[in-house]
Amino acid sequence: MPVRPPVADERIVSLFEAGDSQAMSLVVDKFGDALFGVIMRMVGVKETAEDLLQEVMVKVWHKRGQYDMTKGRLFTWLINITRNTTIDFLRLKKNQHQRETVSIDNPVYSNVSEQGEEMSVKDVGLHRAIDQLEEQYKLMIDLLYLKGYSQREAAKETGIPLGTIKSRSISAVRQLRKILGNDLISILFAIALLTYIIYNYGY
Amino acid sequence: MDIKAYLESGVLEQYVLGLLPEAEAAEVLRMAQQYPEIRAELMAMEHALEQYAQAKGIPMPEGLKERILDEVEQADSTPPPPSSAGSAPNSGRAAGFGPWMLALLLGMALAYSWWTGRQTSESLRAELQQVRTEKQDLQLDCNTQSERLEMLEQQVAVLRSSAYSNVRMQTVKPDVPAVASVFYNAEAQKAYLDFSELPELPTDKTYQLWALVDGQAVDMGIFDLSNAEDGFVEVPFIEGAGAFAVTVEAAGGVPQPTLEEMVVLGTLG
Repeated sequence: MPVRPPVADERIVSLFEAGDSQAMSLVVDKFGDALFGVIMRMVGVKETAEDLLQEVMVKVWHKRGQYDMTKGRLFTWLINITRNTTIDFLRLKKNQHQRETVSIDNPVYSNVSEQGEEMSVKDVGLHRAIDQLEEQYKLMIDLLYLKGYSQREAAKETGIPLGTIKSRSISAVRQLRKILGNDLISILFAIALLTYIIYNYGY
Repeated sequence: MDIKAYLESGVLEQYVLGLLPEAEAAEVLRMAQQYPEIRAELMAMEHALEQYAQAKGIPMPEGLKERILDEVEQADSTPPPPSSAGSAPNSGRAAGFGPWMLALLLGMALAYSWWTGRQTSESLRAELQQVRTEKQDLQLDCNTQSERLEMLEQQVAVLRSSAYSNVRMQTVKPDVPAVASVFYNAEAQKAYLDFSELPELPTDKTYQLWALVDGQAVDMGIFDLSNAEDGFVEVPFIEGAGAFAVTVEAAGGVPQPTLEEMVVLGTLG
């Protein structure tokens, strides 16, 4: 399956500004699965997650004027809306247990998609890279970022002391960045290296 | 400001994972907006986490995308909900606010619909009055037309009837074309004058009809287009008339005809 470059965030934002609902089709394509995953891990029930994702998308469309790109990435804004909507729903249900019953180690939610489709080469690479992240760091990111736990809630959930949560989170982000290597500097370095190789061995 | 130290402090990592309380998080945002290097680092961290979330994504079920887009289109045509505080209690502060907002909006909606209802009823009343007046005018118009129609039908009946004899009065002045007719019914004792072919007169003049009985002129009345717009008018029946003549007289008429002012003349037999 050919790898298509994903739509740029800027394109989506300019459609937001133009009031063109085509933007939402792009949002769903680019971020739908990621956000669905976030919701699923929090509520555990597929139908509920579908309804919530729908609710999130409608909210996103209505609030599109509120997104400020100087304050953070588009996805950050989207995941915040997603987490908050889901948390509101869970509070309404007064079912705190929901958040605990869904195991993040559940193999269903691992690298392989539900239908077992073939992932694109890029995706597999990403999955492999993420897999390199230490379990303890994955846990931090899963709890704090994907599920929106507070530091206190994470400490309670895992039994890990508050201070350790803090230091481990910092390390988790740093290691993740290193693995993904998407810093501009490393990209430029890689291009330079490639250019050097081609130049020297291309003759 | 030691940017390097700031970047190594780990505060940005805490920020992106939501570990910072509101005030400190706001501080980070301020720093990011002030220093491009801090902003770049922040974006890179957010990007890394985004990729993590993408890797951990779960494929959406079949048809969910379409449903979502339908919902967005529908929601687009209706105005957005007034406040999220009304839909779900997201904080203790907001919970009490919601119902009041709703009550206020409801009150406003009711007041508005009452006010527009009043406007509508007032304008309807005015319209009704106007329609009534128009109806009255039309009624009058209609009556006038009926009367006229009756009159015309009568004229036609007279003209067609064999019971009426026609005395054609010809012009006495060859260079002035004029003609008039007297229709008389001896049995019914009724007579009509048709003066539609006579020229118009100035306002101070009028036509007068005479019957000549045994050499004497008998006044049959004055007439002009102001009182008989079709030029057809009933006149008195004069027994034994041998001839009829029309003269032009001063407005109001005269007791005896001014012979020089005779316009048309016609004899019986």
